Amino acid sequence: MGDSVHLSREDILLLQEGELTAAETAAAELHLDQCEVCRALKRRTEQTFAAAVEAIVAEPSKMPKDRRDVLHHRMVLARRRPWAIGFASAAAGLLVAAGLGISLHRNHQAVVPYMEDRPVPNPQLTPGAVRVMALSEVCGEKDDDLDPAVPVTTQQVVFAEYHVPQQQRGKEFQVDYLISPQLGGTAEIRNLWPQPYSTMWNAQAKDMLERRLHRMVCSGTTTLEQAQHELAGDWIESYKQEFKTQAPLRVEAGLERPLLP
Amino acid sequence: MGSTFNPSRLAILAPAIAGHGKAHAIEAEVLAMFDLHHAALLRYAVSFGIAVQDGEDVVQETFLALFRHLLEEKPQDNLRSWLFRVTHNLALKRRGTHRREVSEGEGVSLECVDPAPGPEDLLLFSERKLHLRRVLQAMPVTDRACLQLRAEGLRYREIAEVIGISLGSVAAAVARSIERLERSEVSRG
Repeated sequence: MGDSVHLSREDILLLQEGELTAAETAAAELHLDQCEVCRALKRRTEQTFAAAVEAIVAEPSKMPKDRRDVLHHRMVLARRRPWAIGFASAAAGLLVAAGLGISLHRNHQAVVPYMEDRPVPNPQLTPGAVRVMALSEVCGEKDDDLDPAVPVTTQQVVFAEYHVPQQQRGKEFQVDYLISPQLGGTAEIRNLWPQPYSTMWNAQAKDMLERRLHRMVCSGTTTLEQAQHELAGDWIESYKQEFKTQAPLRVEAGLERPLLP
Repeated sequence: MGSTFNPSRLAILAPAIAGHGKAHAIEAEVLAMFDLHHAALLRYAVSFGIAVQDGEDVVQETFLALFRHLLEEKPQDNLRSWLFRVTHNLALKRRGTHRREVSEGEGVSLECVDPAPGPEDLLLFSERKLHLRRVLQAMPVTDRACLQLRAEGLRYREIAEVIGISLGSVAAAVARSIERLERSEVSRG
């Protein structure tokens, strides 16, 4: 590099990065030593870069504890079910490719982990989980439908497992128990699923089935295990059989007009 | 009857126990890396013009991918670059999805993707920093990404790997970005 040829900004950056060859480095350093124009360019480059760093790496953001907890839960879940991490996206790809994606919502990615044409959770993501419960405990207390609140962190894990986008969480979906706590269902992630609000087969319909099953268990018409099985399997099919109907009774009675099938 | 220890049971259980311990160690490692790199990766994800919430999702998926990567005993050299590369790809994908949704669903101009600074931004940043941020947001994606990654402390070779371009292209992009910032400073007075 002769005196007449100034260094480019790129040359200066590569020099500072140590990415020039030994000969190029020696020539560039010699030139810088002798050329005020290039020294000024180097100073300006350093100053502007420092200002850019300040603008980019601004105030350190607060560590979001809940995000860290969600990540931890998801790793624990993935460790127990190694295939679960990519399951939702794989299922989405398969179902969309097969033209089977349901249209509960315009964002198909959020709902494809359900059964293909109705909001019944995928048994691989939500197989259901129960605790040991004596019949006296099941029937001893009044069935008031008051499900224990699910911790927010757990809800976030469930939403993430089903790929429900942030902006839809809590607005269009609620995290619900698959097997109701009154029938022995636990608050474990494998017993929780995001239930859509605005579908025909919504939480009110499922509550009705749960109350019916609870009464049947306590009257001895069915066993607790059978009731749990009805809820953990295709709960909509169970509803249709129990109530001898093809649509929720509230819809048939004209009490509800669902936005989506 | 006293309990008897059957060595064959240990032989059967040992891999599972070892596997369990390994997964725990990896979880701890991923969480430590989350603490260390979360802020930088979120800044990088959001620089693609996606909402902070979407950026948080991208970062979550990145670390979950890291967990899987480590469980599968894949190469562990320079995991920081690896994290930025995954974030880069996921953020681009998320931005593409968002733009499609906006243009198909609501007919909103794509120019609205980069939000104007809110009151919190105004408090946090001085006027000059805000000016620089606006200039950065207006830059071509590659130029801005190169400068951003350099500001986050990545070497040019690492940036080349993250973005998938040559070392020379990285240097040229950083030089262009600095040039542009400098010109904007001059015109601002």
